[in-house]
Order: sequence, then C-alpha cells, then structure tokens
Amino acid sequence: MMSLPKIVLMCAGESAYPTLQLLLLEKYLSAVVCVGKQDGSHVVQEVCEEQKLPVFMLSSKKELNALKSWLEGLDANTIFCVGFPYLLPMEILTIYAGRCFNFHMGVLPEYRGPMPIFETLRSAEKETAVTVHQMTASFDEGDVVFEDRFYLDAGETFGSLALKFAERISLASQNLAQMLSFGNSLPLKKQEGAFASFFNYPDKFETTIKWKSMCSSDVEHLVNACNPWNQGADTLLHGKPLKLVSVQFSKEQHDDVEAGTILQLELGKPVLVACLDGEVLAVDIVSSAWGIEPAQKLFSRIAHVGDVLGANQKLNKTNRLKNRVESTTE
Amino acid sequence: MQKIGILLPRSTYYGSISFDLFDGLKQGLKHLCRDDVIVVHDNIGFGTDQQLCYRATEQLLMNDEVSIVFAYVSHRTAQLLKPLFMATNKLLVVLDSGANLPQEWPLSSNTIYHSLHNSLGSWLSAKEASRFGYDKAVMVTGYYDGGYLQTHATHLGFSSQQGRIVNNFVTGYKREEFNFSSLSTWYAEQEGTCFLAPFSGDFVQWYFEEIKKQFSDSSVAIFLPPFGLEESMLAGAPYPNQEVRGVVCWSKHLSLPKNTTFLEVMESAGKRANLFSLLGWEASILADKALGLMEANRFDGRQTCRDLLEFSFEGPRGTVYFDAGTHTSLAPLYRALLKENKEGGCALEVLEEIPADQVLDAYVEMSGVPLENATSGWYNSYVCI
Repeated sequence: MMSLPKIVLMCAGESAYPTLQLLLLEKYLSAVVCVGKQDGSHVVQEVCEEQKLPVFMLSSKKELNALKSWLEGLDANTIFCVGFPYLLPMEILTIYAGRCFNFHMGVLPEYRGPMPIFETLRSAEKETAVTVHQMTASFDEGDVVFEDRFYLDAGETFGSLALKFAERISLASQNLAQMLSFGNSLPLKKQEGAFASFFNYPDKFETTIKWKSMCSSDVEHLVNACNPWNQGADTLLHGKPLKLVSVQFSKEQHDDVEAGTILQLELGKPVLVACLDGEVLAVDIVSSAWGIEPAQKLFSRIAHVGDVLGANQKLNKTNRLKNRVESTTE
Repeated sequence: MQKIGILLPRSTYYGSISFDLFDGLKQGLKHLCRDDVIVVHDNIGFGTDQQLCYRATEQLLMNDEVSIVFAYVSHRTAQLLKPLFMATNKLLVVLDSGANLPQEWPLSSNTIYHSLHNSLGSWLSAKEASRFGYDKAVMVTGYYDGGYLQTHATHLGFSSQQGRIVNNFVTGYKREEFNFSSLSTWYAEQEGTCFLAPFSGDFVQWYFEEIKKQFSDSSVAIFLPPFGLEESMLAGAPYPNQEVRGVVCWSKHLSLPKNTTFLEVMESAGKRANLFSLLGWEASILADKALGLMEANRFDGRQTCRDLLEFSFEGPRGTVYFDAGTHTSLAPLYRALLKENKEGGCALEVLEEIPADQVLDAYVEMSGVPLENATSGWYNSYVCI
C-alpha cells in the first residue's frame, strides 16, 4: 500500500492556483515552491502565508541548489509540478524516488517541451490532455500515470485553453493524491519513443505568419496559439512589426490576390485580408506600438486597401503624406 | 471468454438492491445469449468508504483484468475511480439513481453514466404541479431524501414555471419522528398549495400513513418523483386518499414489448422486476454492445466510450440514448397517477409518455443550471443507508 501523500506543490504562478486551493482543501498540501517572477506568483505567496504554509519563492534556476536543504526541513513525501519550468536536481529525484510528478499540459510523448499549448493549437489538434507522469532527469520523459483527454473548442486560444488546463489539473492533482492514498500501486505506462517530439520555446520565426506558405486555417491557428502570451501572431505592415490578436473566417473569397493583401478597409466593416488558399480572414484585434486596439481603428489610420501584410513594404510618398495629414487632423 | 466487473452496493431499506442489480445483469446477459461473459462482482457497502471503493475497482481492473466495470456509485465516487480507468484505458459505466445533481457535470474520456434520473423526474414532477394550476407548494421531504439535490431540482423545476415554494417541511428519519401534525395545522390555513414530496423507500409508506391520518378532512394534491412512486415500496403503502401524481421512469404496467420480455424473463427465473433489476438488465445491453466495441477498438476504452455515446437501444422503459455533452443516458419519462387497489393499498397507473423533446429540453436546462451554493452532504449512493 502506498502512503498518504504530503505534497510539495512546485509551480509558476496563477496557472497552479486552482490546484493549490484544492490540495489545501483536501489537506494534502505541505509546502509550495513558486517561481517568483511569474504572473500571479505574489497571489500564491500571499495564500501560503495566510495559510501558514511553508513557501519557497524561487527567483532563478541557480536557487534550485538551495531547494534540497529547504525540502529536508519539511515533512513531505511527494512533489507535484504544475507549470514548473525547471528540471528537478537528481538529488531531489533520488530522495523522492517515484513520487515526483509533473502535470503536463499536452499529450505525451507527442508534445514534449515547455509550450505544449502553443504547439497543440498551432498543429490544429482536435483534442489534448492533462498528462500526469513521473519526473526524470529529462523533460517530460517519465512513465505516464494517466492522461485526462478533452476536446478543444472551436476558436480556442492559448489563454482559454490555459484556463481549462488550470481547472482540469486541479482535479487531476486530487485524483493522483487519492490514487497515492488508496491504491496498492500506480498503473504506470512507458511513453512510446517512436511518437516522441520535443518542441523548444517558440522563437520569433515560429510565431510569425508566413503568408506565402500558410493557408487561412494555419494563420487562424497560429493567431489563436499566440493569444495572449505573445500578444498575437507576428507580421509586418509597411515593414513595421504588427501582431494579429484575433481573426475569424469571412464568408468572402478572393481570386488570385497576393496572400496578406488587405481587401477591405471601410468604416463599420471588418478588415479583410486575403489568404493563400483563396479564403479571406477578418482581422478583429491587432497589437502594435500604438497598443492593442480594433484592427479597423489602427488600419484606417495607417493602411490602405491593397497594402500587403508580411511584406517588407515601406510606405510610399502618397501614404506617408496621407498619414501626416491624418495625424495632424487628429 | 470476456470479463466484466460490477460493484454492488448495500442498503438497509432496499435490502435486495445488490441481488436485484446482479440478477438483472445476469438475466439480461442470458437473454442476450451472452453466456460467454464472466461477471466478477464485489461489494462496496454504502459507497461512502473511498478506500473500499478504490481497492475494489483496482482489484477488478488489475487482478481480475475486466475490461468494463459497472458500478452503482455517486458522481463523487465516480470522480475518485476515474483516473484508474484513464490509466488502464478501460471503461467505467456508472449506474446512477440520478438523485443528486453533480457540482459539475464531469466529462471523463472513459466514463459514462446510465441513470434512472430521479432529479430530472423531480424537476418534471414539479412542472406537473404547475400544469395542474398550482403556483404555491410546500416541499415535504425527509432528513435522508432531503439531503440530495433532487430537492434542488424540484425547487428549480417549480420556480422555472413561476411557482413558489412557500414552506419546507422536513421530517426525522425514525418512525416516531415522522409526524405531520404541525404540517397539518399549517396547511389548514393555506389554499391552493400542493405538496412536492421527494421521498423514497420506507419513507413513502410512512408518508402515506401520515397523510391518511393527518389530512383525512382536507384535499391535498401531491406530486412525487420516480423513487416516490417505486412500485415495490408502494406495494406496502396504504392508499392516502388524496390525489397523488408524479413522474416515473419505469413501471411494470408499461405496455412495451421489451418491458413484457423483461418481466417474463425475470418472473420465469424467480427474480424481482424493479428499478434496480431494470438498471442491471439495461446494463447487460450496454455490456453486450460495449464488449463488441472493445474488441473492435482493440480494447481502447476511450474510443469505446465515444462510440457508446452514439448508441441507442430499446429497453423495458423505451428508447435509451446518450447525451454526448454529459456522457449520460436519457430515457423516456412517464406521467403517472396513484390509484387505490382492492385491498386499500396503492396501484400505479401510467397515464402517458412525456414527449421526448420535453424530457430532453428539461435535461439540458437542468444540467445547465449553475448550482452555486447548493451542495449535498450525503456521500453515499442514493438509497444506500
């Protein structure tokens, strides 16, 4: 029989908040380790202090060395990691042998790496999973305890999916704690290496819309995968950076217009952009040096029908003059 | 040979519950010529001991190597067992009284719920009260039955028709505490108020005894949910001399060919036909289908669960199908009227089937209502005390 889990929750801020609450409620929680620079980490710290729960605010990877001695002072026997960005030192893995678990936000072994939500959405998957696995010296490679599969909604964004994961992980953490409490052994399953893929943290190239090679649905998926963590998918307008935060399919179609071309820019109507496959996307919200605003508002100031997104196209003299007049009148 | 498992409960006032469930399943499999299916069973008591429920399931999955487990458990316990089925990719079929509303309708890739829909019946029974012109009601329930969210469903169903619960009357759970004298005094000053009464088991008998005793000079309209009109318990209850209506999920008196078959098979085997053997019988139909799907899907429980959501069948209570949004089965519900038999006892008359679209609409509405602060403190499976 396994022993009652006394859990150290290692997390990176607000994504672990529902898990923290549920483990606290169920009296499984012994301590919390939180990466100090993440959004919402102060909330986690405040809750721990309020509950008189030991908390270790980890400000950098270097401090992992100090973690071992801090853990030695606790009466804990299990580690749960939720959004925790670092590998655990081998010493800790040895002390808590078989009782270090990660709650991965994607299907394993297909979506290993630090941003599985981004990769899942970019790849237009129809379903994903909370995958609960044992931790090893490599990222996301340990034996799987269970996976909680669920479908993605249409138009799912990184943000909406991250919120779903936060809720589902809290239930999965309760499930695992109960398995450790009541079970004889954990039903572990090896990951099938043949299907394994590791994705690094996405760089600028991966968040940039390739208008000349991506079809409309690829663009839509990339935009959703970048919203909100990257403030949208990257492109250019007149050679300057611009991010598309939200797009949707239009009923319109176009015939042989260069992909990325602005087709419609009229007051009260959506901004329409041509895609490679003849489909037309309506751009709702954009992010730029001017801020985050409705596409109609930004584009009516600085763009024209026929301008091409993604092209390293400079403003011509007429446009520059128009912009100057508009900015003066505003 | 294929193996399935069943986790059986116990109950003091439905003493035969585990036998009925098991007999229904076994007779159903026999009727389907599935003598090749081995049924492994275990007892999980009242369903409150998490350790017991988990261990029994673990035993079935890992030692007995069954591919499907049927379990008469609450939604809470199903949540506890869920990861075992996700981990082993096998199938859990929760056999559910439907007396509680879950805090959230849980969607698990390897779990489906096959329900008798007592809360939905309560909701619709309360709507029946409105249909008969009542806009005020007293909720009359007991310490035990009142602890399940079927009471909340009753309240929501009635208020959805602009009805108002003007009094909540809760009895004790011992016979000597089961007394309606104060209710009778209060009711004497009311007009146009009906009784919405979630009761089950022995309590139905006591309820009718008290109604007969305390309300002999009054006329009271009473509306009951499916378990309140459960025929094996009605058999021992005196007719209360009042108009008693309600909604049932099944009756011996349903004139359906599949019901006739069910009754004949059970009778010829010397077994009881009741709500629980019905649940077991329908489980056998699900088992037959699910075992075939399991083979076709190379024992992928997740895919089998998905496929089952597309499955429908004709059973003793009519066409059973699944709501994919909540992984829960839906079946016809019927309007019923209580009548007096020759011995002064109760007999059930099934009046008509509630139109299927109304049942579906009510279910969608009910399962979509946020429970907010409504919560049940009862952890046991319904009627398992």
